[in-house]
Amino acid sequence: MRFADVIWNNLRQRPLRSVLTIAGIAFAVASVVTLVSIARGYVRSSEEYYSSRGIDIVVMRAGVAERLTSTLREDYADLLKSVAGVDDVDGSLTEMVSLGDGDLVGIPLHGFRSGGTGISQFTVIEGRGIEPDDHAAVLLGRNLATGLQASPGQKLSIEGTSFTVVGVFQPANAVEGNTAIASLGDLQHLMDRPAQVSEFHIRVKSEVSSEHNLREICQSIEALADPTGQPLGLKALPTRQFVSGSTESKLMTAMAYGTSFIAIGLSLVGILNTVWMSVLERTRDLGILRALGWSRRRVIRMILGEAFSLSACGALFGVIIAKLAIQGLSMIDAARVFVRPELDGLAILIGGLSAVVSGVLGAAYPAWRAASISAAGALRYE
Amino acid sequence: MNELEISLGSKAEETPLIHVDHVSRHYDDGAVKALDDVSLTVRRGDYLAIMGPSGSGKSTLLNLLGALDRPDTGEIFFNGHGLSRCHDLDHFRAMTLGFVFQSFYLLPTLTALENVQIPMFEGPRGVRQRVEHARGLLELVGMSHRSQSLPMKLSVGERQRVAIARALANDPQLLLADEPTGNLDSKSGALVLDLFDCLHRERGVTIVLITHGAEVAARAGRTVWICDGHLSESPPARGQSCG
Repeated sequence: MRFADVIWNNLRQRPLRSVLTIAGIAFAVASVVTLVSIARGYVRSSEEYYSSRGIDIVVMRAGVAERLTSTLREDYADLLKSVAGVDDVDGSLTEMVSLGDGDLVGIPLHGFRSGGTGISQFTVIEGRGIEPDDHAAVLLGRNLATGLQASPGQKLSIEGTSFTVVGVFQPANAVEGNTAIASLGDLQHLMDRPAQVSEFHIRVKSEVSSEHNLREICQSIEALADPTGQPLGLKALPTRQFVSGSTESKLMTAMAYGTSFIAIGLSLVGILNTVWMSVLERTRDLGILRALGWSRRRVIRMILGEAFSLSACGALFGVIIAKLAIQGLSMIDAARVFVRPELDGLAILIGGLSAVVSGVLGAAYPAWRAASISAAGALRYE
Repeated sequence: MNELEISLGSKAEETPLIHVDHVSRHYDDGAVKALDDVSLTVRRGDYLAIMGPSGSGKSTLLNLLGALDRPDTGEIFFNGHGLSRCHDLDHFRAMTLGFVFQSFYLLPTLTALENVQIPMFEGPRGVRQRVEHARGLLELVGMSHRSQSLPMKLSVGERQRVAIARALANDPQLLLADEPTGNLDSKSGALVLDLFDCLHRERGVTIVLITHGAEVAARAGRTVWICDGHLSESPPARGQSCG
C-alpha cells in the first residue's frame, strides 16, 4: 500500500461528500477559466482586429475613456499624414446601433472612408464590398449575417434607416464577426456627426515599425497643434497598448478576475468545511494513527493530500465544464461578440492553480488540528 | 512509594528495557492522583501482567509506558534513556512499541493487510517490503486467509489477531496490551493469549499486559497490582477494597 492509496481510500469512503466537494470546486474553476478566457479572448480579438489590418497606431481624443465617446475632426487626417514615418491614415467612426425593429441592439457599426485602405481590407465571402458610389450600403460580419439570416440584396433597418446588405465578410476574430461596416459618409449622416470620426488608424512605414519608433511617432502626433499653436488634443497609442488600456478591456478583465476571486474564495470555504468535518468525524482514527507512531507531519500530509486530490479533480472537471460553457456561449448571438470559442492557456493555468492553492489553504487549519489530536485523548473518544 | 523490580531470567547488571522512576500523573489540578510515585522495572523478555480494577490507574500507566502521555513528576527510562529528553516520541512509538487495544482500533476503511502496514509508513520498508512483511505477520497470527477483508467482515477474535499483527509491524522491543481479551469470548480470548505466549516464548517479545482477569494474568510470568494509583507486588487481601 502506498501513502497515496491511504489518501485515495479516505476519499473513496465518503463518495457523496467527495463528489459534491469536487463539483463545487469544478464550478468555481469553470467560472474562473470561462471568465478569464472571455476577458483575454476579447483583448486578443481586439488586438487581432487592428493587427490584421496592419494598423500600428490608434489615435483618439485625449482624455476620453473609450472610442465611442471620442470625437475628432475628420480633417486632422491631413495633419497626421505630415508626421514623419506615417504611411497611411484612415479615419473611422464607430457607433453602437440597433438593427431591425430594435430586436438586436448594441451592434458595433464601423464607418470607413470610401475608397480608403480600411474599407478595402475586408475579405468578402458573399456578395461584394462597398463601392465608392454606394449609398446606404452595409457589409455584415459572417456571424451577424448568420444571426440575422441576412444575405446580399436584402434590406436591413439600421436605427430606423433602410440600408442594403451588399455583402458578408469573413471576420478576422470573434469581435469582428458580429460587426457591420458602412461608408464613413453614410454613418456620419445616420448618426448626425458630419465630418467627425472616433479614431484614426495609422500605418507606419515599414522601416520605422520598431517599438521605439512607434513611441516616437506617438509623441510627435500628441504634440501636433493647429495653425494658431493650439494643441489638437490627441492621444496616440501603439495598437497593443491601446487595446489593453481600453476601458472595455480593463472592465472585462477586472470583472473576470473579481468574480474569479469570489468563486475561488467560496471554493476555499467549501474545502475547509469538507476537510474540517472529515477531521472531526475521524478524530479516533487520527488518534490511532498518532498512537501507532504517525508523525504530525505525516498526518498533515495525509489531510493536505486529500484536499489536493479533491482540488485537482475539481480543477480537471472545471476545465471541462469551462470548455463546454465557452462553446455554448459562443453559439448565443448576444454573447458571440465577446466570446471566442476556445479556452485560454493562461486562464486554465490560473483556474487550476487557484483551485489547488485554495484547496491546500482551506485544508491547512483542519490539517493542523488533525495533527494536534492527542493520541491518548482520541482513543478515549467514541 | 512502591518500587518493584520484575526480572525474568535477565542478568542483574543489564540495563532494563523500561525503568519507571517515581512517576506521578495527576488530573484536575492534582485533585485526581491517577498515579502516585510509582516505580517499576521491566527487563527484556519479561511477560508482565498489571491487574487492577477500573479507575485504578492502569490505562494511565500504559499511556505513560507507551509514550502517549508524559508524567507530571518522575521519569521513564527506555533502554536507559529518559523519554522526557526524547525529541521524537512519534518515531519512538512507531519503531519501538507495539500496541494492542481492547477495542482493536483497526481503521475501518482499510483491509486487514492494509491495517498491518499502517505503522510501517514510519519505518524504512518500501512498498513491496511492507506488503510482504504484513503478509508474513498475518500468517504468523493465522489470518493470512482474511488479508483482504475489512475489519467489519471479521469476527472480534480475528480483529484482535490482525491488531496483534499490526502491533508487530516494526518488530517492536515492547508489546503493550490494554485488556486484549476484554471484548472477546472465552475461546477467542484463549487464542489471543496463546498467541501472546507464543510470541513471548518463541520470539522473545517483551510484553506488558493490562487485565482485569486473574486467568489472563496467570499466563504472564509475573503480575503486579495497581490500586488507587499505587503499585503493589501482592494482590489486595480478600474483601479489602482497593482504597
